[in-house]
Amino acid sequence: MKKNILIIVSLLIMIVALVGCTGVPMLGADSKANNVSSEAALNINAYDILEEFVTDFPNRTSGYTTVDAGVSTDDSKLAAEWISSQFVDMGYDSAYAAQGGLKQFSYKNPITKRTEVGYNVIYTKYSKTKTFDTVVIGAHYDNVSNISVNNVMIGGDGTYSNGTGVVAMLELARVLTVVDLPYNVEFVAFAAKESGSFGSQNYVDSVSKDIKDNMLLMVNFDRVAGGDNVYMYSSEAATDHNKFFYNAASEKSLEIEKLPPFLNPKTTSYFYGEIMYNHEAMNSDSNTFLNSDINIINMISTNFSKTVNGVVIEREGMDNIGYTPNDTFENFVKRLGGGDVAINAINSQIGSVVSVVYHSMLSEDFTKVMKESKPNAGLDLMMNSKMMNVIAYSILGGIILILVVVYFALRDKTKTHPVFIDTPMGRMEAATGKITPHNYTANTKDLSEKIDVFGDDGKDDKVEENKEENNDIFGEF
Amino acid sequence: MKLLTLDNDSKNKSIIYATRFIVFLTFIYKSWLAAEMQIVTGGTNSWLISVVGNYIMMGAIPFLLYLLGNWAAYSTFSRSKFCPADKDFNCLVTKNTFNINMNIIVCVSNLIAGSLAFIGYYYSISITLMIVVLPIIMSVFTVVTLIITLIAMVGKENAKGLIVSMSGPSILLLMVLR
Repeated sequence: MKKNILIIVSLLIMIVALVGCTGVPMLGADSKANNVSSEAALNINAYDILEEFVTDFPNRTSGYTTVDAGVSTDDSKLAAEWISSQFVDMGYDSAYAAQGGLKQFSYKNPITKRTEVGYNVIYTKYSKTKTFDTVVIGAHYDNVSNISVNNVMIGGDGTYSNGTGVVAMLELARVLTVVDLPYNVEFVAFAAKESGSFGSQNYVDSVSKDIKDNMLLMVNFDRVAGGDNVYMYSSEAATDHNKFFYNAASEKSLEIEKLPPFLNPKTTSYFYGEIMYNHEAMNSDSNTFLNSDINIINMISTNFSKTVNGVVIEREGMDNIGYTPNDTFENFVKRLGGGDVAINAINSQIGSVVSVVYHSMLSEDFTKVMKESKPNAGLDLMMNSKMMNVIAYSILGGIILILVVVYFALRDKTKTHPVFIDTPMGRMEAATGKITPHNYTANTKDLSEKIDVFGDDGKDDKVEENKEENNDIFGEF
Repeated sequence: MKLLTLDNDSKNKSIIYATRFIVFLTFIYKSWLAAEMQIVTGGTNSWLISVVGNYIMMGAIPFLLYLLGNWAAYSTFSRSKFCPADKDFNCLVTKNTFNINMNIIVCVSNLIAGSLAFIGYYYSISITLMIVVLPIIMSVFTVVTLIITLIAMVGKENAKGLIVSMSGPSILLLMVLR
């Protein structure tokens, strides 16, 4: 009966395990259609400005210069100046107006091992109310057009990464020109993201304490169009500000996809070292702000519900183009159906991204929610991998210490007894090494009391006989 | 507690082996989420290698460590001079009894840990909590439950001896059970 039950239980568990191994159902809805349309979407014409930006400035890799007829040109700076001119045209102010809206910084590029120069483009929309409360809207404008691996150029003109993000930022800036907000908005086009988020790090490091302490939110646009879905990422745990943005999207019927939690999270372990994941949503300038305990929303267009060889795909049924020579405007348009279909898709996706941020920022509760919300949903401690490791292993160490203390505290008060170890030859007393044969059933405590060697008791005689047999190491002659 | 008491009889071996197999399956279940998410290998290789690698790292190796820990823990425990013993100084807890109890407790522990990982995944609780902290919590749960079960078997009068004799094996189990 016992065996039957065990067999049934084993089979059931095996079935559950095997069925389960076919795949974890990803949270979040299935991949949606390409177009993210909405009646609440603002009238965004992103297509034209995207085409202009990426075709005029296809080489925006920070730190690289091109030489033409003996004249050296920093193409990334030209791109930065073009972005700056867009903000000037919209009437925005810059604390770096004397430098053309560009904040220059230098950084050590870990790829080239050189010290390079980058230019962040920084413009501000000041509130009529005097306040330090600030929302940062950011997008990196550099690409990987000039980077080669094994003598193969890996990047195209960076339409997907990150022409789309720059255009979304510019379009948001355009629609915000006509509204007054109770907080300042700082628009930052980051340089040198692809070599290690140096632009955003420089911004976070150099921004004034008043602004940093009152930074309500950082919204990052990185590859916001071209994927199957648009997502909003804020943390490994659900945050209030993320919910706020998703609610705004839901209220306005904007089709922003729910992000599957823990798709490819990153954590560290003291025992295993750093465990790396292909976590696209974390791999952007927004993470620099998150690491400084600033609320973030990172907008990204891809398809988190599908992976190929463990890598998240951008569009189902198509090869990824991010960081490849195929990331060009021509390819980008072709993948979205070409012609008017592609124009609508680009305007629709970027429009949806801009709209959700716009509607959220204009909400009456925005400032209150952002001030109350925490970057990691109040799970700061849990989100800090190292801290969690320290706590967990400290608990383990504490329990081990308690066990050691208990051992030493109780051992003198606990009754002891001789220890016997079963060996092939018999029971061996651990302390003395004395072996008693297995079939010697008597209590070893006091053999003389129990074995009637000379008596007529058949049982005891047999024991004695057996004992003699076992001890007859020479055998019969 | 007689239900979980087995003599060192060879006929009970089949029950031990059967429960040990179930334990193995529960280790696979516990590593299911981590394997699907390719946590250890990071999904950098082929999908198959990545998933299988995770099952090995998170399931098979912990299972082998469990077998090793179980054997070493009982050997240490039964050979302790504080171990509750009968009048012949045989440990009151037989090897089969220890094994069957460990198997059942680890089964329950793994099922809880595996299920909590999914709950944590669904409710967006920290992945570090699920992957790093939960196994530690479950190893503590296993050891504490084992001690409580064994105390129930040997009786309160032998509890002190059992705790002292189990302190070393418990430390060992806490180190290897994941």
